[in-house]
Amino acid sequence: MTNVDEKKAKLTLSGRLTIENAQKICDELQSSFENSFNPEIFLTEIEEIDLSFLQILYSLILTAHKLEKKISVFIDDPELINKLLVAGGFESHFRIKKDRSGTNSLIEGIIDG
Amino acid sequence: MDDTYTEKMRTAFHEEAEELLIELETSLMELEENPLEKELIDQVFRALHTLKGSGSMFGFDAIAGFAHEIESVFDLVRNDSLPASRELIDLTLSARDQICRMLAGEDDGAISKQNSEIISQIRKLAAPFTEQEDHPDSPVSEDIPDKEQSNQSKNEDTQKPVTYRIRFKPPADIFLHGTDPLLLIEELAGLGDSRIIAHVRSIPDLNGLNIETCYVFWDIILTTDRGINAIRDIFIFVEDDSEIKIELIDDEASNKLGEILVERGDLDEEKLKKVLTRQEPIGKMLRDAGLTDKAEIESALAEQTQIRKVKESRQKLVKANSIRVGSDKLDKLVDMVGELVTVEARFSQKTSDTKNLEFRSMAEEIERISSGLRDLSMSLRMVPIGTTFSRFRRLVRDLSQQLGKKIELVTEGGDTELDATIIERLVEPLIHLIRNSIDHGIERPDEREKAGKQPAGTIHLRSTHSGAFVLIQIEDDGAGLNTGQIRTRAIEKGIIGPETVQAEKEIFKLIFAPGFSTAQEVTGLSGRGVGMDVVKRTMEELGGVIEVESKRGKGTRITLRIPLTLAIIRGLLVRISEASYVIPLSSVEECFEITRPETHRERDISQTNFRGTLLPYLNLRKIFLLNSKPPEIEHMVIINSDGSRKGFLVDQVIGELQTVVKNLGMVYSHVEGISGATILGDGRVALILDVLKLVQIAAVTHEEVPQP
Repeated sequence: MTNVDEKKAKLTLSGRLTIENAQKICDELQSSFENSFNPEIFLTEIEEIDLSFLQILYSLILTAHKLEKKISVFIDDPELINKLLVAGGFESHFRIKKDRSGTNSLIEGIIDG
Repeated sequence: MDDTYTEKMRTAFHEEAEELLIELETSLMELEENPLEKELIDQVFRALHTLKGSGSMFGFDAIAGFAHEIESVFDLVRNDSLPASRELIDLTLSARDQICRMLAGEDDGAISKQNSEIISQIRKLAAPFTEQEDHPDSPVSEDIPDKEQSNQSKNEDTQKPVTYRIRFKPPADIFLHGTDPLLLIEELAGLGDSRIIAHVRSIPDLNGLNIETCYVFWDIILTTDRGINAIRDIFIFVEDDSEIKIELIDDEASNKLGEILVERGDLDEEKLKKVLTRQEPIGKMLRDAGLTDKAEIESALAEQTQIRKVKESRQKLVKANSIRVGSDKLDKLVDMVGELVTVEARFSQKTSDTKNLEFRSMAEEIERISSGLRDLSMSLRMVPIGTTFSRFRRLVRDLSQQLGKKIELVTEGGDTELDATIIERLVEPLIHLIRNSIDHGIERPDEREKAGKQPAGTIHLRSTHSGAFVLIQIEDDGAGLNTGQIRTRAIEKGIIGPETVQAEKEIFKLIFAPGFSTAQEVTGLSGRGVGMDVVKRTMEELGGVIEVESKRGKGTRITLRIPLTLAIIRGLLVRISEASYVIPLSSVEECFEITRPETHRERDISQTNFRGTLLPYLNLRKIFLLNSKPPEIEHMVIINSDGSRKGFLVDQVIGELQTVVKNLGMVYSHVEGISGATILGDGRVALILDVLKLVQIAAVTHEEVPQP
């Protein structure tokens, strides 16, 4: 489910990003976050996402915002994520965009204030 | 209640019931193909429900009672208690036919007996699926169902869409109960048109995050026709621990952002008033003042948008509402508009001579208005042909079953609009053509398989616009026309002589000859030679043309080319002596000047040299018995009649015109060769020529004889 590349502070999350795995995901993210100034998270080959993960993601982005850290969350299936955001009413809290090369999709948090 | 009013109401019910019966039939046919389609089941139920309700209201108690029985069974289908089986659909179609007969006022005794049989069979069918006390053989109730009760079916009846504001705050430990709130939100959204806003302001940073806690709550603005209970049902397993607020939003009430926030309790009214003194967008001011957060504003904006949307669609619905107007009134309107256009043309002609600019400007204005009025009144007569197409589905279904054939009817272009009068007159010809395709065209399944075809045949019924015409095609993938057999039968019937040599296209046309039929045996459907000549005659009367294409073993395509409307025609205005005539432009191919044509034959039928061939022509001066002397240079109008070219010799071609057709009235309706009249801009009357009839009268030869 998780694959950590500590040197580059890259973390890949795949499979079921749901409540059963939420604690592990949260721990990995926290660790990745503490070990790097600009961590990169990759969401690939996702089977399922539930609200617990969206909360973790928002919390992560909020933390980065507070600490003025840059965090990049790459996604390989922007359509799936977008569908989930729309269905859950999270459109105004996250946005999906392309990176500078125009090839990779990223998910960004929109923090109020 | 006065009798006129009652009569009007009964007429209104008749009209409504006829439409409902067509809708019912169409829905049943579709349901037969898609027996699980909820929307179709609902449509059938609604049609029966409305028939019952309206019947009861207008005093058609027998219809109401009968419809109630069938409706009750379809309520079981709606509740998934009874499958929409072929048998049930057959019985419901029979019931639908019975209602047609009841509506037509047929003999009550016989109908009542048949109704009882249908109800008894339907009850038997439903009995294993219901716990009701009704015994299949219990007497059929003629009572009108209690209106209150009939409105309450087991399922909550669909109602007018209303908008709800729903706030859903799940318990913080909802994950521990194994529930993902997103699934509930998704289910809720499925009830209608929704806008969902998640509030995330309680989510802490990673240090404070407890992954087992739900921090999010939602505002959902939902427009649905499913009723509040459907919404409550979704939250049934979490309602005890959640904060759920469902409020009906009055879409007629204020739609101002600030007021929505106050109403929701997200904002204090006093604070709102204070902020409103500034001249900035309210949302920005409230956020700047720290009174509301982004999600609250967004949620209120979503509500505002949703209400606006509902209001707009309701307004559209109001605009789209129709009223029923008798076709005689429409005809009268078109007639009067025609007269107005004529008077306007005369007025314009007079004012064009005047130097008074105000008059001329007024004339232009009147011209603009009257031409708009004319177009509008014409459009009122136009109706989509699709309603007629749907009648044929039943025809194909019943006849193919009767003949043991498998046939699918595919319709295209049902939204093509045609003059209502024309559509009405097309029904019979189309029935004949489709029947012929079923009976003679499409082969039996075993024959088709032997020929390497799919066992099921297809009949395509298409409609498309083509300029001022509509093309209707009936195409089958059957055996195709057998030219040898057609020719033999035509000789036997004396339609052609044994020595006659004809091209394939000409042989195809023989099927439209009176008394012609190649059917080996006379069936109830066809084979009597009656019908195809009626098709041809109707098409001629409508100013249309029939084309036949066929390939042996592949199928047949018949194309009907019909003018869009009978009320207006585009014509070529010609003059003979002092009289004016209009030749329908659809028949005209070209015109040329001619100096004293050298005629080769006497009487009405003459021939002249035209581009190296002998062109048969009619001297209209002779036909209309006008004794004045013809001018030195005359004009020949070449027309296409039944696929061959003929000339109409006239004094002068004046030009094209679009004109309103007037009937000749009772006294002159029998005059052959004239299909109507029109009033010209200068007030004179011009007769509209019936080209085909004139050619028939003059018995012009069908062949252009090459000049030796």
